[in-house]
Amino acid sequence: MSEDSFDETLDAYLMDALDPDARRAFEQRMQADPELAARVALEQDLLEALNENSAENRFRNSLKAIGEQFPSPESLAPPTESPWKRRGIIGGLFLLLLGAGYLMFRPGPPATPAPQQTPAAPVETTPTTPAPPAQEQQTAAKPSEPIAAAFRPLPALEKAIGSRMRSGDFSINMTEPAGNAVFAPNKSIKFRGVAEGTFPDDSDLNLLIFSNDPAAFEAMKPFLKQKLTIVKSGPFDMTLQPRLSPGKYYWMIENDLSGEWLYVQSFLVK
Amino acid sequence: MKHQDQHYIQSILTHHSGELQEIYRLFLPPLYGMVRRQGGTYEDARDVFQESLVVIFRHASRPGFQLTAPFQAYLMGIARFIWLRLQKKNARVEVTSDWQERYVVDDSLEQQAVEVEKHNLYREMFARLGVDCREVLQRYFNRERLNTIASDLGYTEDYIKKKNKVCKEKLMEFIQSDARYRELTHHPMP
Repeated sequence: MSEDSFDETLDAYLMDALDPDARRAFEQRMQADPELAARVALEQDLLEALNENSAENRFRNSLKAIGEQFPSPESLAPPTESPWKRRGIIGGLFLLLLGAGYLMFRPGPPATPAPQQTPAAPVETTPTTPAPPAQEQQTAAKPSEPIAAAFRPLPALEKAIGSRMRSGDFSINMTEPAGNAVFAPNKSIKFRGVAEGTFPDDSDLNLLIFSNDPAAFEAMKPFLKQKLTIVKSGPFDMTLQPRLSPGKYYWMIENDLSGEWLYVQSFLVK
Repeated sequence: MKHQDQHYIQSILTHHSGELQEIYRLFLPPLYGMVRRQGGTYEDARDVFQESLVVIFRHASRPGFQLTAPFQAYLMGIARFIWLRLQKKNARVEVTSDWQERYVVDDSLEQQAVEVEKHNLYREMFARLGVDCREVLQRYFNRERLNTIASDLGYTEDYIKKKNKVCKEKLMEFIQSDARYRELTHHPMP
């Protein structure tokens, strides 16, 4: 077979255009010639990988377009739909700036000791009446009553609230504290839940508490990290006494080894 | 038995844009947390996430596929496998991880991940070719006939056949001389 004729046969084979007899003959030739078989396999692979119209490449293009919609971790937050919500966020940012200005220019030390990672401290503009739970804020916030900076929801975690996920063969269902539970500053907090499934011997779980500071969350630096040892299915509890200043906080239970979040919830301190 | 998370698989197989966005929103943050702990960036996490979804697409496209585990565990298992390989490749040193012991990625899934990695290598090598070669080969790989390519580009069919052959051989030379190809073909990393 001349080189040109061989190339044509090979192309026809790759394009599935050989008649059955010629195809069988070509396949027999491949069986006897491993080098030819390897070359044909690579060419078939190239046709699959580089065909712009293949199902995989069309899927890849869809993903690329979707991935571009999430250029940063913050962009993963659920879209804001309500104009009230947007105005609330703008109001919150305004208050944050106002609070920062106040903290920079006020005389003397801060009135309350700042936590290790300060959830933006309440400022003079903080309403004197307790702020309503975040969910109510989102629906009922008016431009004239913006959310105080320390109580601003953290979009990256809001989405995951209440999620109950599994890690391998086990899961955690938390019963306490309830969503947006309110605690007084420096009061102890009881975490209570039920473990379900089979726990591996070396399961390491952590209870993490984050303030509403996006930078702290972004850096995965929780305000508090406490090892949570669960060895079998059933109820468990743990009491902590974190020194928290007023604000909105998020807590999560994560699998230490995998980083999976098993449970995410929020509470308020005021 | 079908797992209740099977709907995520359907969203992937049908390229459902809205549901794919939801998959990003729900599952990219925990993966980012994991990648970040290992010194990676958000971009690393996003790339690993995309590759993991492509692996799932291939794996779930096989006839008879059914999700039997929670989607998050399935996705994170693949993502960890890909991230670990990436770390090994970049560091060129032995990286140990408890994940290997805790999350078993079965052989067929591992094979899909290796195939996706091979395809990425082909794309990378293809991009190294000259513009002329890429133009002819891209149309060839899109299964256009050589005589159509020749007439569109204003060349004779003989010229395009030769050009196609030379370019394809150049591409295969690039690929076969790359150490990663040998590794992927003969000695896939665990």
